[in-house]
Amino acid sequence: MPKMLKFLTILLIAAFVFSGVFNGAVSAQEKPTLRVFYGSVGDIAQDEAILKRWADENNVNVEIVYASQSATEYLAQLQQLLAARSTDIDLIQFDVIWPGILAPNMLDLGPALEASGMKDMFYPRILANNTVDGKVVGLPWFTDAGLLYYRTDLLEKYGFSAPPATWAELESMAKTIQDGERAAGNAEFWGFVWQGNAYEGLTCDALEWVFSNGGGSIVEVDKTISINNEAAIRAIERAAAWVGTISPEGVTTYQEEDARRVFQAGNAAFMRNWPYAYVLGQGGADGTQETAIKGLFGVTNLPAGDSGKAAAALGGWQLGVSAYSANPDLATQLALWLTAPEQQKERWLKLNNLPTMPAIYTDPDVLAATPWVADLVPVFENASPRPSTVTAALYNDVSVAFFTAVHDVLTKKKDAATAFEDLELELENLLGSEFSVGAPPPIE
Amino acid sequence: MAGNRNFSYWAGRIGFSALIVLIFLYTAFPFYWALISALKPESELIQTPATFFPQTITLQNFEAVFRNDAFLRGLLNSTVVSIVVVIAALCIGSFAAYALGRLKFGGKRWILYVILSMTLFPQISILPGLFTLVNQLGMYGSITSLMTTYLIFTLPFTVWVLTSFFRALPAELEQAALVDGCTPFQTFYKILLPLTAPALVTTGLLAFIAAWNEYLFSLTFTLTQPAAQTVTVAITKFTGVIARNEPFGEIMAASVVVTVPLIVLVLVFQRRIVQGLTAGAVKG
Amino acid sequence: MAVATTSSNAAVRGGSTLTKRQARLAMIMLAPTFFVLILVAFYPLVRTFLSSFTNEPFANPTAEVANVGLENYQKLLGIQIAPFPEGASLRDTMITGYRRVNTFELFGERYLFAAGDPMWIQAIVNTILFTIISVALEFSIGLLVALVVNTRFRGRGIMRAVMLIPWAIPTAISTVLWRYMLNDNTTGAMNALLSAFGLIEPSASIAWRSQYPLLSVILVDVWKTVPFVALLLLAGLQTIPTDLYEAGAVDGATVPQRFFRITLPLLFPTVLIALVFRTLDALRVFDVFAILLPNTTRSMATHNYEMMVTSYQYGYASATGVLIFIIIFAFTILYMSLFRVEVD
Repeated sequence: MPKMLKFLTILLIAAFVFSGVFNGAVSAQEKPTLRVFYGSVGDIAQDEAILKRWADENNVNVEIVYASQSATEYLAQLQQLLAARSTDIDLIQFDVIWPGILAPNMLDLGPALEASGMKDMFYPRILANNTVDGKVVGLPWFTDAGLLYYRTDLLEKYGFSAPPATWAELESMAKTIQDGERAAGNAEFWGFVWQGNAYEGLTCDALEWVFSNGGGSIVEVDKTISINNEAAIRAIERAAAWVGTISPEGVTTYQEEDARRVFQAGNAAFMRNWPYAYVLGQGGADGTQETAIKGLFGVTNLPAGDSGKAAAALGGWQLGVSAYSANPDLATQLALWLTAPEQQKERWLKLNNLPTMPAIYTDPDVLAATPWVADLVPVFENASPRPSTVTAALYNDVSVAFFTAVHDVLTKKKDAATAFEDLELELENLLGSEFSVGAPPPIE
Repeated sequence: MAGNRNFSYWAGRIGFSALIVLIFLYTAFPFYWALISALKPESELIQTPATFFPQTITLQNFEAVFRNDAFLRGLLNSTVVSIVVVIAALCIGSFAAYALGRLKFGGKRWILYVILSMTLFPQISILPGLFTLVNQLGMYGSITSLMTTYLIFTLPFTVWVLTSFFRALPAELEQAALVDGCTPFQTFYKILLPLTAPALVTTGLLAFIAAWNEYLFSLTFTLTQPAAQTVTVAITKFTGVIARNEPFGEIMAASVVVTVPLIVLVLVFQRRIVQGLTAGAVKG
Repeated sequence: MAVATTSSNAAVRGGSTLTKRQARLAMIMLAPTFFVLILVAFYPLVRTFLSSFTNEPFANPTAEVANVGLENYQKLLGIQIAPFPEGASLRDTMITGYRRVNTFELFGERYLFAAGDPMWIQAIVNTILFTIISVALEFSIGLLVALVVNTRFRGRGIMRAVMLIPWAIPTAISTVLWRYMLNDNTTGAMNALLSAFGLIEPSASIAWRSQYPLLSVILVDVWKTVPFVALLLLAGLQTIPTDLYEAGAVDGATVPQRFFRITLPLLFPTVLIALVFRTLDALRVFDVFAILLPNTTRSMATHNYEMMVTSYQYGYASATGVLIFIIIFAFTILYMSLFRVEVD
């Protein structure tokens, strides 16, 4: 036994020493190293190949740090690193809702953007969203917007000539198709699937319902808390009535992937989702995977509500430079290079990341390769941002309060009027005296 | 009468076998489900109703997992971290457990409570403090940080379990040793420690699994150093070929790959765990 | 821990020098444990405790931090019940910063029930229900499994390895697996099994996570943790000398008698340790809730997590952590006194 103890002690020491070797393997290099903090970009190999090209041209080492897939964790990790003034990361990919939160710790890319001549090429709405008090926190890298997916074959089968233009139409079409398909033997067929879990995705979905019905966008740009209004209440009540009728009972736990799996298996007539689901439905990036709906579905803008206008929540990712970067100029150059039209086009064709510049959608190569995006240009152009810039650091709390209230209505714990009365009071307490309660602005 | 006993004998045998089968299915079915999910292409994975035997078998998920450097690196890191943590917890913990279980001194109750109370805080609420500490000790981004911090949850557990095992050992052995002129410390490592071998193996195994499964610390302390990340973190970073896509099949393939070493470990230590029978018999 | 033998001391009646020597040795042997715990646990714990009295934000070292005394605790524990007649204004009735839990009627009067943090109150209820039910189930099933694999039969070695599978799959991953198995249609194994056995129609598939949230987490946690309990109990069973059973058999004790008179009492110390650690773990349950259930069904630890990483209120989250600590500590003391555990 003593021998064993000695052996164990030696092993222990050896392991510690080795562990030092494991992590400390930073060799002395002449080249500067840039570290990029990435979330989900898609095919990692393709992405690395693009970065490597720039790295080789500029004689720089570029290392990628992949962050957590969960957006909440991603932001928390990022905040922790920035708070520690870490020089470990230079270029940062961040969500469209974070410019307000990250602004204090990011470099102003405004001057560099001005000099590059790319400023007027981006969608103005996205660039405006990334600008906090005149400071350009990040460059729009790729975008996202809520879309309506529909089954072309089923629409034809049940005699509908076009996808639904209003929510009311969607309801009746979904009901007809669902009844018909169930009678035809598919017992698990549903009319409409969407994202009803209590999470950021529900904020997007519910914002679309509320906004398209003239119910405003929760907190308006002029600091008006507008959520407690008739139009918003009606919109949420309508959605709550879908649960268990045209949408499965379990939709209140669905996230993007849950909805996509149902739709892609051919078990739903309509789906609200982001553009990524299109590519997967057609068989993946190279189109080789078998799917039940290949060639049998289309995408269009979401239905309009009582306001007569449709709405799509704005998503997408930006590239910014950490204020604590040791190589801010290099990192800025990389950000500009990655968001330049050529690279955006390449990312769209290889990685299906949607461009943030309208001109790219009319590029002949793009039109030839992916004709379906051409019709969606207005959707991306008019996508509605969530109230993240006006609420800045408090956006998370606002969003949690909002999706919790909506989820309570969807799961029938509260009626919409009570939920939004409570929500209004909660937002008032949360946001403080600078914000005031008021009616949503009229839709122009 | 004899026939009767025969009947109850067979009924017992069949009932017992049924019980074994039931336990087997209960514990293994989800693992089987992970395995077949890893072997199915996505089109079959999402179809209703689910198939209990894959109709098309594809190895692309496993191929993707083994092509993923971060995952393989993670496996190695997890192995190193878990082994070191277990050895450290057992060495340090068995000392403490012997003192608490066999030696005479005041305040034992409080010491045990203090040790236990270290594990009463939720991991998340001590995380920011730990993050600062790890930074100050210069361990951020290295697996050393994990080896050290994992002791927070493995050590108290080890001490408590081993203390109870030490207490359960018969006193006569120790008396005999003392009569033979052994010091208490010699008694500890020459006589008592070997006797608790099965307990050490069992406790070690549980500690190993706890360390192997840890996620939050590893995520936080190695964020910017992918080379130091453990396998649980590597798996949660799997991305599909399209952003937003959760590659369920690949995650399942990875979970199968991660679980197999542990099953092998258990099979290897089978005999050790069985030895517990003889160790118990010594007690008399 | 109530262990049958407490007789080690018998050997050392030799005198006070020996006792002193033992005490000194004990200190030396405990030193490494204390060194490690002070190194890694002391600072974070103290820091959590101190920040619980402040409004410190998460990950923002430049922010000004003010001492707020017991404010965080008051918000966490505060509840309000007030008359709330039809037509009264919610804004005027409810304490500022509170949130409505519900409105109820009592003796023809309408009342408002509000709380400083309704989600936290709900999280406590969820967690305690979860703990009681899942720990009870884990022990019943775990004991059964331990007794079975302690019996000699062919294939026992494999069975002992198989038994550990659920524990061996990292929770973060097995919960993702279960999330899929609990799908609300027959792509999920649970609904597929039920409909394969003809217990439900596929169209009436159960939406486990939205209809039975607590049951879903209990199901997963019990599956996940039975191996841990079973292994500890198995180790305990093996320290029970076989000749005791033989003696019992000679005395004509039936199998149940032997189980209740010999096995269970001797197994008690092990049961107790397993019980303590399982309860403590269950009260801190995190992964299963975080991955399986939407934000609205929270456990105490996931609420703590959300307060920190979503709301960025480090001080408030710390107060939550301290309260969890206190609740868990109360449970520990309860166990210890309930079972009259003698630690000394």
